[in-house]
Parts: sequence; structure tokens; C-alpha cells
Amino acid sequence: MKPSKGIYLFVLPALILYGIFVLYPAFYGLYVSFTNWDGLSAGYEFVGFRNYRNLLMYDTIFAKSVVNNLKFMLFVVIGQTTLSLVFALFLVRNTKANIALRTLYFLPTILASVSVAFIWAAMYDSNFGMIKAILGLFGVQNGPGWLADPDIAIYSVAFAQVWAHTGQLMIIFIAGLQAIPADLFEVAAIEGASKFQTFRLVTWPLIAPAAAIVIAYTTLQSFKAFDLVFAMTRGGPNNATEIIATFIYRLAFQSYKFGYASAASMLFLVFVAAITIIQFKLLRTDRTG
Amino acid sequence: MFRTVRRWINLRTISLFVFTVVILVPLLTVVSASLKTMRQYVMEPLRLPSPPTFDNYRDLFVDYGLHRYFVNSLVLTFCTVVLVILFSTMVSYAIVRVGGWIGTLLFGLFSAGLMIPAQVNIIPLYGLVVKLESWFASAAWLPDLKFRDSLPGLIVIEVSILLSISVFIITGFMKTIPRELFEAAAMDGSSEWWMYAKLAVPLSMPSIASAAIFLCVIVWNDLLYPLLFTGEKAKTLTMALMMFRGEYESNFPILFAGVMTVSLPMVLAYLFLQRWFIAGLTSGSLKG
Repeated sequence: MKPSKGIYLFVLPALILYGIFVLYPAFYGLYVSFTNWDGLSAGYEFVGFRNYRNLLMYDTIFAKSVVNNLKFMLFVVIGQTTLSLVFALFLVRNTKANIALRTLYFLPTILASVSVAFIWAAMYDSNFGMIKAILGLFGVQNGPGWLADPDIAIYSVAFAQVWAHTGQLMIIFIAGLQAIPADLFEVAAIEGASKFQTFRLVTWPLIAPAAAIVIAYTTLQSFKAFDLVFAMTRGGPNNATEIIATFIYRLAFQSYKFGYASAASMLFLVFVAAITIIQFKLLRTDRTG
Repeated sequence: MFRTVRRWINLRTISLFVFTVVILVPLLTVVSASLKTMRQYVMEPLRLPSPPTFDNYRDLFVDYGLHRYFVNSLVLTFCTVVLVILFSTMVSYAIVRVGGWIGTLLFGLFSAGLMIPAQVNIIPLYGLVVKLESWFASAAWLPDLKFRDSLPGLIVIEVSILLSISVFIITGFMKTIPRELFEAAAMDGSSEWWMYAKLAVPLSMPSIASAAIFLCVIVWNDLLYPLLFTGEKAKTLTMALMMFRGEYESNFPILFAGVMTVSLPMVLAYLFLQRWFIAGLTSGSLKG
């Protein structure tokens, strides 16, 4: 029996809100990106591709934020995937101690990014930071300026992200590992496979799909790390930790270049889509090959 | 052979020890430093607070009225989660009931929102909100609805943004309910509302609980939308924390008392509902 037409009333409230506040702005943003609107005044001019051309060819801060974002992404993806896989392997068995450790490692996931940012800003602080105090115990007096040194600041921020989310991804790996039938490991043991061989020939092929999910999720996460970066460094010092998301925010809401910032956000969308597609292809061939 | 086994065990133990320290030290620092005076924090960074002081908390709540922002965050989170769950279960039910290409189309339409990053949306959204406010103000027959610095306005925006992910999680689960169940109930003359409320929702409870917890964490911890749309009146806890950072620079004891206030409700809920939290946050991360 087919549902009556009244069923569409179920979609209505959600569709109205979603249409007005999500779908419409997405298209409207594309339009704004071709203007020089300042977000406040009623008048603006249509400028064609000028915003895009300026961003791609002349804006050195935009280029810097793209590079920073790639550095951030590489550090987070490599660090987080490796650590979460290693600790998943260590904690895969459901013993009491393992479950307690999993609970602890997962805990930072539920903290607000703002909290994580403040916690690590305090750890890194060059005057009263905890890291400085701990290094002092070992006689190290001149530690690096974790957030002050433009060469390493972006990695310091990335480390805070890894600290906060490794436990969450570890859980995904543990679920994948526990789904592997135990007899496969028994066969490997009977055949005399070493730990490493067992991992390479049995475990890895079977958790590769979980790894693909973890890597894809982590990549997207590192482009959305606005809260963390903004609360921790606001993109400084000297744009050293500016990522695309903070760059767009500052352009729009501190410099009131809405048109220009919209063009940046469209490039951001293209950028994220391109990375997602490339990754999808790479991970696909990885699995079949 | 023996040696490799021993090395393996040691490597495991050492790694677990190091990682536990790395996770634990910052967390314990927050708790301990929030109970210190600035003087203690600077002079004895590695000691426990002696004697512990609640002055930081008193400053935050008595002098700055942090409880107001606490209540704002609570209202925002509660209303947003309830509305998102209500609307998205309705959509999911319709998608499952209608089925066929229309169901697929609706599902695709709502899932498309997952691919729009917030940074793409915030600029036009802000422009739209300004426009809507002036329309509501100029048309006499409309209520004077505010989106900026008003909790109802912020709730409407958060609900709209979060519908996609919730529809995605819940529809995936609701699809596994046998269609025959609804068809049989419809034969017996049950209305769609009855089937929604008495069959679809109760049977999808696990996914609804997951989605609700995921949404709670997201909304409670959100900074971006409160940063854009709230001023003094509708300020949330995370926003208040940002303000303190500007004001206190590196007075970390008082900032940490703020961090404790933001985190404690979620951490307590996590400790009691651990399994649900892990399931919820994992289902949220698998959306992509």
C-alpha cells in the first residue's frame, strides 16, 4: 500500500529550514564571489573573475594559508593514522586494563576545540608553560618557541589536533580489528608466521577499508580545524598558522571583503573536493592492488 | 625468539606508558591549575595546589556571571538537539516510506549538505541573516525576529546546519526496518503519524541515541556560529571562554577554571554513558 500524499508533510519543516539556511546560501555565495560586496552596504559591483584572479595570482597570504593547510594536513593525517593504528593493535583485546586505557585515550575527543586550544597554548607557553617546566627538570633551558617560532608553530597546533583525536580513530580501528575472524590468526600461527608477517598478510589487508575511512575523515577534519587554530593562535605569528578556514573568516568578518572572501571559499570547496577525489582514487587502487 | 617476544612486550608497555602520560598530563594540569592562584601557577608549575583555592571559579561565576552563558549553552544545546532529532526522524521516515527514486532524491538532497564546508556557507549566510532581519522588521504583520544575538535565531541556524548529518545517520538505520511492517500497519488503517511515532521512532532508537549524543557534543562545543551570530545577550560558554582569553592573556588558572566549566558536563556524561558516546561520535565521523 503506497503512502498518501500527506507523507510529504513530514519533509516540509526540515526542507524549509534546509533550503533557506543551507542550500540557498551555497548558491548565493557563488554569486557573491563575482562581486566586490563589503557585507554591509546595499550596493556592489559585478567584477567577474577578478577576485579569483587576485587570489590565485597575487595574494601571498592566501598561498601561505594553502601551504600551511597542507603541512597541517600531512602532519595530522600521518601522525593520527599511525598512532591510532598502533594503539588499536596494542589495545585490541577486551581486558579491563585495555578498556580503561581506551576510555582515557578517547576522552579528549569530547572536549571543545576551544578548550583543547587553551590547554595546549598553556602547555606551549614560553614563560610559564608546562613543557618548559618539564624540560627544565632535565636541565633544558632554551626550548623551542613552540607557538612563537614561525617555522614550527603550525606543527605545534597540528600536534594538539593529533592529541585530541587519536583516541577517536583508534576506536574505528579496534572495531575493524575485532571483526577479523580469530581462526585467520590461528592459521597464521600454525604456519609459523612472525608477528610482522601476520600483520602484513592477514591484519592489514582486512583493516585497509577502516584505514581508508580514517584517512579520509582525518583529511577533511584538518581543513575544518577552524575552532582550534582560531582559538589557539588566530593564525599568527605573522600568518604562520593561517589555514584556509581562518583566512576566509578574517577576510570576511574583520576586513569586510565579502566578495573576495566568497571567492576564497569557492576555491576552498574545489580544493577539498579535489583532495577527496584524489584520495578516493589512491585508496581504491591500494585496496585492489 | 624469547628476546623478540620480550622486546615486543616492552615496546608495547613503553608506548602505552608514554602515550598515557601525554594524554594525562595536560588534563591533570587543567584540573590542578584551575585550583591554583596565578602566583602558585608561576612559582610551582609542577606541584599540586596547596592549599587549593576556588577563587578562580568564584571570579568567573560571581564577577563575570558565567552561569548566564552556561544557561545559554544549555538552552541552545537542548533545543537544537530536540528539534534536529524531531525534524530529521520525520524526513528519514518519509524517505523510507516513499522509497523509489523520490526517496533516493530526498536522501541525496539532504546528504548534499554534508559536502558543503561551514566556511563556504558562513559568508552568504551572514548576508542572508542581515536581509531577513530587515524584512522581519519592516513588515508589520511579521514578528520582529532577530537572528543576531538571540538564542532562538542561533537555534534556527544550528538546526538547519545539522539536519544533514542527522538525516544521514538515522535514515541509514531506518532503512533496515522491513518495509512490510509499515505496509501491514497501513493495511490495518494506521495513520502515517501513528506509524512514525509508534513504529519508526521506537525501532530506530539506537541510531537516534547515537545522533543525539553526537549533536549534543557538536553544539555544546561549537565556536564558529556563536562567534558569528552572538553578542553579549546570547553568548555561549565557548564564546565566553574566547573573551576571557583576550582579557586574561596568560592568566591560565582562570582560563582553566573556564575550561573546566565547559568540559565538566560533557566529561561526566561521557563517563556515565561511555558506550553511547563512543558509538555516537564514531557514527558521526563515518559520515563521509
